[in-house]
Amino acid sequence: MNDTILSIIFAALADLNDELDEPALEHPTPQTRLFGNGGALDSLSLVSLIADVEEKVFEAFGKTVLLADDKAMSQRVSPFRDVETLAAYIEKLLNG
Amino acid sequence: MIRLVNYTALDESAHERLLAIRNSPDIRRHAHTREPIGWEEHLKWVESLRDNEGRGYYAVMVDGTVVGGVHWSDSEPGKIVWGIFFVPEASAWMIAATAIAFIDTLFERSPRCTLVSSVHAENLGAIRFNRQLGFKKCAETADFWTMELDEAGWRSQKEGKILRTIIQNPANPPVQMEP
Repeated sequence: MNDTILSIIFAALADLNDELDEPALEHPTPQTRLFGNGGALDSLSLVSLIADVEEKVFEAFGKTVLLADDKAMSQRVSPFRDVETLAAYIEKLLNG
Repeated sequence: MIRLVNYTALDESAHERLLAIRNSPDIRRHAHTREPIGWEEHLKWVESLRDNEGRGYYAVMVDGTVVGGVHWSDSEPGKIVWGIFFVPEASAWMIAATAIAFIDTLFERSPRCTLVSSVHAENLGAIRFNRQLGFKKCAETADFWTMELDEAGWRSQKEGKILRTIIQNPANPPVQMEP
């Protein structure tokens, strides 16, 4: 797993949690659930997180990734289930 | 483009799809009426919406397919109850954009009103969702929370990081409300 990508997600979660104040996001790990069953985010905070992560990915890698694709945003089959699946999805898009 | 189409303007197949979503276990589990709604009962109720200025029910349509619904109704003077539901596979962008546009429209029409959400106490996702929209709990029963939001609260919430990020993002899909 790309450590830079994980750092980006953790930084975006920290920014988001300034507003959410969600205990589950205070010390996120790769296993931290994000969206869907047991996830700490609702639709609105997920969209906000994704927009923030896209921006940070561009700053770090100079590449635009579109995470907010309708298919990817599906609630049932989703790369946004947890930090690890999101990082893997970003890595796949960057290498694709 | 997300279209909000009045229930009274839907064709039969759209009503079938809408009713199937409304009757799905995922939606009924947290609804006030947990029993499935029958086809005839649904059509009769839709007829009652015609020329009714006290409430508005809209199907959320994307690419011609019903993916959910939003509604408002006058409850008491100065208060408007609203609600929203989607198919489980609806994208978070779709849900976020629809909710923000719909609330904007309600406050444009009635800036002095208070919006009211009635949310099942076990529906933690919906409670979080309403909180992110700025709703605050003002009452509760054993099963439901009543949450409220006024226009000043909405303006303030839209200036917060989460809603501001969504509203300003070019990927935020446009929403068109049809009469």
